[in-house]
Amino acid sequence: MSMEKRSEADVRESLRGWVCRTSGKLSPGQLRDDMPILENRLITSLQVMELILYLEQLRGAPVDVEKLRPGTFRDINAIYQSFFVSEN
Amino acid sequence: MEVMEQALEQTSSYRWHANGQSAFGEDLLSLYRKLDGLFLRLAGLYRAREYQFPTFISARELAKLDYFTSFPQIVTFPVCLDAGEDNLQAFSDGSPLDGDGQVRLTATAPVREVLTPAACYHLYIHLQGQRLDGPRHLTTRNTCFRRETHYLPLQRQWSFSMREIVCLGSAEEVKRFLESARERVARIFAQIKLPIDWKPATDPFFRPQRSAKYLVQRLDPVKTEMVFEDRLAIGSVNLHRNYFGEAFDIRRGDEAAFSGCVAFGLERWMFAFLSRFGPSAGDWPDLDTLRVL
Repeated sequence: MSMEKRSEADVRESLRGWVCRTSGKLSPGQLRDDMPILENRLITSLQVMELILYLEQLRGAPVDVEKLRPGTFRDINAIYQSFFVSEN
Repeated sequence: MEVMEQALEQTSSYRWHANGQSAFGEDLLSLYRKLDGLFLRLAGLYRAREYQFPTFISARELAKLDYFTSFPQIVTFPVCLDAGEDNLQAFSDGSPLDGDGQVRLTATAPVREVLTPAACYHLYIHLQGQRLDGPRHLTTRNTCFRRETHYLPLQRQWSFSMREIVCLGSAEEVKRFLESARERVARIFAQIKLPIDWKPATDPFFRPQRSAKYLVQRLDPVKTEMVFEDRLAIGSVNLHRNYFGEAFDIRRGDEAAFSGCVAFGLERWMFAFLSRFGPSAGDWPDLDTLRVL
């Protein structure tokens, strides 16, 4: 619900900010939306669990872990498409 | 497959131990060595440096990989009696075995070691703290130990042999190695006409539904298995990204090294080979003259 007020740019910025803060390997501004996140191991497996919790908070809806598929967390673009576009 | 197991039972040079171990000699041992020779020839194409490592791995080193939380169901520990004289006396004075063959242990010494669960771990521990100025290729074979709920001759064993060829380097160097090694292995399958499919897979994590590592392997597939007749994985190609590089501080340039390995389960290769070509050595393709290119 709260996400309806968020613009795409706002969501993307929040996602970039979270990944950079969590990873500690990049400063915001260095992370592009098409930069591979898991492939480059910017975030660890435990942090992927935290990311899922963060996404639930950000979009105000649960994430069904069973339905996650390869590529879902490839980069910021993929995360945005998977969790913020298909919603009504 | 049961046919194969019956054939093995009737082979005098083979003996299956129900606790998940195989003993073999003569033609079967020759096959084992020829297969390993084939993998070594493949390793040679990358000028891989060959290493031999001990049976034990330090538990402290394995803990850096979260091994004990990821795979507690698999791990096997070597156990010794506490060295105190009274304790040893108590052990030898009692009946050391019960009727089931179970050892009646008295006090045991602290356990700080693990029986090797995967051959390549030794290589990363060996390279710990190093700075690589180019891609590094290495190979090793070890007896590996994995506790399972059930065992099958040559297919699922508590102890088995694993040959690995490993590349450490940049992401690009490791990717190139894995692609080229996979093509070369596929050419071996084509030459000896062994029916193999390449299938994406995950490692056997404990309670996968609760494992973050399992989830990430599903989201970002890094393991491809060589599957014989749709049911037995006889080897795999694995990309570790920079997991081992970070855990053991191995660097390539300014960054944590990437790594990848090609792993061959020797007994499983034997099983696939025997299933395909039969138990008689006269019917087997000549592995010594097989071209690895």
